[in-house]
Amino acid sequence: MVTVFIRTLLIYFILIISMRLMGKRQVGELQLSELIVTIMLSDFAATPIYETDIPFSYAIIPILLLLSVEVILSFIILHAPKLKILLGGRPSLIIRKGILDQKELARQRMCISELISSLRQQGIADINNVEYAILEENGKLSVFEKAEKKPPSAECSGIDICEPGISHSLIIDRNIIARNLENAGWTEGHLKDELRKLQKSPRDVLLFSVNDCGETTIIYKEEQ
Amino acid sequence: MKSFLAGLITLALLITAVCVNTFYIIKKTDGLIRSLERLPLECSEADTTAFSEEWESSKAWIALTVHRENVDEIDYTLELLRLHCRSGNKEGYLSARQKLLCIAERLRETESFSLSRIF
Repeated sequence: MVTVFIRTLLIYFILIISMRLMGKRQVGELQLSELIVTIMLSDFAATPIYETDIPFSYAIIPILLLLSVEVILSFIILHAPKLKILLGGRPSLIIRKGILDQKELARQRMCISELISSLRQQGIADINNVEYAILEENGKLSVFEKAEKKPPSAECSGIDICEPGISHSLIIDRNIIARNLENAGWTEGHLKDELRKLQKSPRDVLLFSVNDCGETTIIYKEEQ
Repeated sequence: MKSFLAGLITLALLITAVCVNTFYIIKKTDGLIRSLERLPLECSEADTTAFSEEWESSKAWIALTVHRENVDEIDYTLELLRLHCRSGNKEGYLSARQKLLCIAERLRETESFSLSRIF
């Protein structure tokens, strides 16, 4: 039982390090080789946990081997686009300029009801509203609506607006996030001044965020 | 580029480690096989003890990279060999000796650079 316990911990940390070294995409949207590596890693990691007759090296060596091969292959693919296509396929244009490519749909073994379902999931109720639909290498469908179906933008309406950008969380659960302060162009002193105007301090705040237009969002901690 | 080099170095180290381990195990199993073949047909406690010590000296490293079942089987059969030797059971001794030879040869074949066990 001690063996299983220690092996589980060791393999867990080794996997975290391996997945971290492979990059964010391993966790998010997976390419084909990355998906295969993830599936294989889980099997290599799990077997030595409960099969205590198997030496620990039977987990470590395959994990490290997959890690190094995946990293090397990713680098080679970066410099060899044809190999990328060979291993990962290429995006497929399912709808082009508003016209459905039925041959491409059949080639991708996708039926029309699946396409309609994917469009619905992206908030598009009518296929006629779609200018382009692209089936990406990772199986996700990217959809671009026709311009006349999109809500008018501020630019089209001639409205001059401030670009809000992203919201920078300056305080999270009472803690001041120095990196986000820097990104937002604020100082700690400025932050505390703003809170002082509201007769508050960082210790009273659950969330304090500011966007690029200087608009703040504050959620105070509830008293327990 | 850094990650590519790190990957390459890791792969090179792994290949080196696997090769070194294979050569070591082959060398040790060859030694065990030779010692077993030199064991006299008439049991001798001194010879079996010497062989046992030779096995013990290699066991720790071999156990790191070989299925535990093989290591346990050798341990068990070796105990049988010594038991039969002490009790004067010649048939049992010869049988255990032959079994140890088979296990050692199987271990050598499993760990060698061979494609025979790939499929």
